[in-house]
Amino acid sequence: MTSQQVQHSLPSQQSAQSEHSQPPRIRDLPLALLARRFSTGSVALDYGAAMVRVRSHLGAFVRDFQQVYGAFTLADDAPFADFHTEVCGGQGLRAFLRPQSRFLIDGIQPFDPFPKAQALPHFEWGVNWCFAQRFNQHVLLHAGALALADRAVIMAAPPGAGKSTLTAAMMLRGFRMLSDEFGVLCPRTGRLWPMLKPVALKNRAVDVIRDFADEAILGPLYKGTRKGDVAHLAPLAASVDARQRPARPCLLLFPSFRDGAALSIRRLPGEEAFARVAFNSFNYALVGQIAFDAVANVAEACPAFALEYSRLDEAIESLRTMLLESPAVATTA
Amino acid sequence: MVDPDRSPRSPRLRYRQLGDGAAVFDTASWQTHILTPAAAVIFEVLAESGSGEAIATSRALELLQEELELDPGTPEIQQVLRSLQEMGMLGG
Repeated sequence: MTSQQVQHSLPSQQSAQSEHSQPPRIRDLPLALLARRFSTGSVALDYGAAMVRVRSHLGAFVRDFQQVYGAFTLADDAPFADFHTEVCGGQGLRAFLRPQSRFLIDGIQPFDPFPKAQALPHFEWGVNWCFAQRFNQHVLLHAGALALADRAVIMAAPPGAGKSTLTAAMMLRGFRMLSDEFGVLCPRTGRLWPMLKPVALKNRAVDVIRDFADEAILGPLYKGTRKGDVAHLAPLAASVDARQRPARPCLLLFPSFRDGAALSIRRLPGEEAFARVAFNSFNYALVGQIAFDAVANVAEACPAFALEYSRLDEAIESLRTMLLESPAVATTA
Repeated sequence: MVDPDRSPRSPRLRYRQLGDGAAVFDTASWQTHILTPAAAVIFEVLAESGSGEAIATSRALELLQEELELDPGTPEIQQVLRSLQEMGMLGG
């Protein structure tokens, strides 16, 4: 059973609130209350495709978390979590000397500690790791996914091509973000599930997005992480509120940023689009024929384009038109 | 729902036409083969000729020359033939 098969009821809050009210967003909770919830392990996060339970006693982690998960609500009384995680401090001397943060999944520490000050990026990478390793009931494309209503664009690109920057900018211009990192393709329905997490912006992209829109809520800048300087963009409420709403793939896009480049859009052959998507999937080789059929359905139904850009707004407006005009037809139920 | 396996070929192979090209999943090896438009045409011709069975390499070369007027000696065609061999479409 996965979290998608569970109705996330919130009886304790529902009883205290009117029928139409929502649970409070994390940004509206007193920090002390949130810290208490973390320390008792009663923080459950609904990412859309997955439910994650988190425990932590690290105050700085809780403070940073509140910034970048501000639009989320706590999934109180969630009857099921796909992953049980903990972000805790270093052991022994490392609790005091160059203190560390450790990420645990089911009580096991899958990788080396990070500096304690980088506990939030550590948690983010840890959840990504859990998801990439264990969520094999879906085909996990290594791609961003955004939607206009229920029409989704899948954006795949190698590291450094500007995918996260474009994803962030598209959300800030009104697209619904499903994911920056995981295209969660359901092989049964052919739909994309949100796996909505903060967007990890690196190096120059941090200032680009900070300057791009006043609505951008960025968490702290973590300098000198294993992936450079990193800051997380908080998902906007519109995306958060729709995280239980899958979307239909309508467009495949392979973006690349090049300084000073004029916008160029080139149609890609179906077999090339298939190869680029399938062979960059996290679990294509593991899932086999099911993944082959699911990706082939997408490559068959969706027009595919390589897009080179240097100006975000110009690229986004082209994408908006391409997505709305895509003739993609569903090939599965 | 689109029928994912629309032309006569070995049940071992799942074939999907994608535009002019295609992708093939080999259920025996779990390997995926990407076929360019030219390779997809060759695949179709040989699959139809073999009716789901492997066909002799000599017969395949004849078909390429006679039906498709292709030179089997070019590196591109040799590459296609190697892929087809891996998929079990060529024998003997």
